[in-house]
Amino acid sequence: MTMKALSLYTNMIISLSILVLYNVYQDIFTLRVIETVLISVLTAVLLDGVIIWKKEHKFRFPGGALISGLIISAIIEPDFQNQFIYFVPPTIAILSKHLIRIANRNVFNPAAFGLVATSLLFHDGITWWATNPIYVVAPIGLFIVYKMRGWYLILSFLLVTTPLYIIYGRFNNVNFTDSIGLINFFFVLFMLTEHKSAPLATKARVIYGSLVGILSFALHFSLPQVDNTLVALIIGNASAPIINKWVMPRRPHNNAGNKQATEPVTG
Amino acid sequence: MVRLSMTNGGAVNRWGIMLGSTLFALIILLSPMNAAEGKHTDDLELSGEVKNGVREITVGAYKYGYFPNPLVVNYGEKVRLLMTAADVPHGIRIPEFKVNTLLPLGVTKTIEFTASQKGEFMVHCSVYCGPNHGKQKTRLIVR
Repeated sequence: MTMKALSLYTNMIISLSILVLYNVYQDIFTLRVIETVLISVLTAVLLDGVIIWKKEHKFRFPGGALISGLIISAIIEPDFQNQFIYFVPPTIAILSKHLIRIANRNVFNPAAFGLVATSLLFHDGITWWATNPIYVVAPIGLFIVYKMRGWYLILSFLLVTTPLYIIYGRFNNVNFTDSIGLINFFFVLFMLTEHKSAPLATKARVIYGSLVGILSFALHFSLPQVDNTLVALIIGNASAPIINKWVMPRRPHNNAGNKQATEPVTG
Repeated sequence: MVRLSMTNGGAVNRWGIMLGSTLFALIILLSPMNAAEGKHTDDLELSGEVKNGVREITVGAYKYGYFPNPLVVNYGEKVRLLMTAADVPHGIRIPEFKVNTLLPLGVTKTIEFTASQKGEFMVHCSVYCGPNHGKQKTRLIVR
């Protein structure tokens, strides 16, 4: 069996599991960290499973929730004194997925929404502890981008942010490597490409990726109270329906035009 | 091949779940448990010095840590942190004392709070500063 033969969700689950476990194994392997991962993942999966069962009266494995749980566990602070907090982001994530919807799609990236809400509620929470090193993140992240067809999203984001960070570095005596290091590649490869809350048409994706990139840079050095990339993503998510509407051809009876805006792209 | 249906219309492969679970279990079983660092906090020197009734500590933030490490103060003291970022912009977050500040390059930021709770508190960087941003932390020990 090859990775190519596995479904997109299975690939995501395996890739994120490898990344989280690599970081758990590398340097901060404690019971607390394992608890963080297990609580995030199990809360997301169980809650989503129950909601699906209530809605559809049948069990379907909540793969999307498992991915959200893994992403949350890779980002949330593993040293909270009060372990109750670990139940909060996956719960908010899954509830937002089911409650905040437009046209049968969740508006917000569930993990980003849950994490930002938690950080605002508890003034803490986001450390990106299991989102490195780059030689692990990059290959599996690029594989996910390939599977998700997310090239337009990440390229538009990077084409906007990379020059901005380089210019910022030049004016502030930050060397080139450190300037590029300010770009959160885990976010770019694993979160920006989430297809349910991102636009589908190519032009809309380019606008969306650029918007998230500009916001992410603008917020980076202005608001330490919130995570710049996650807030930028949430604003981007909220703007996605508007961007979709904007790029859609204004021919209401033209089926070809509608098809262009709703079919996944191969970018 | 048996496939389980998924919430989002996709499909998950049974082998994928088995492989993921096995990896998870193997790494947990084979990994060494880190023992908690157990140095007695009474042995640690107080950080900085007291000036006009305020404990003033000069703190440097760098990729990926803070100096001094840990920060040690007495319970009930007023604490003033004079903070600078050495290489890229950093941040400092101590939620228990409502501290969350951006540390831009070339600027010394002054942060004041009262050490009104005893114990050990995690101090984190609150601004993404590079791939190992998650490892940039220290402890604030109030004794």
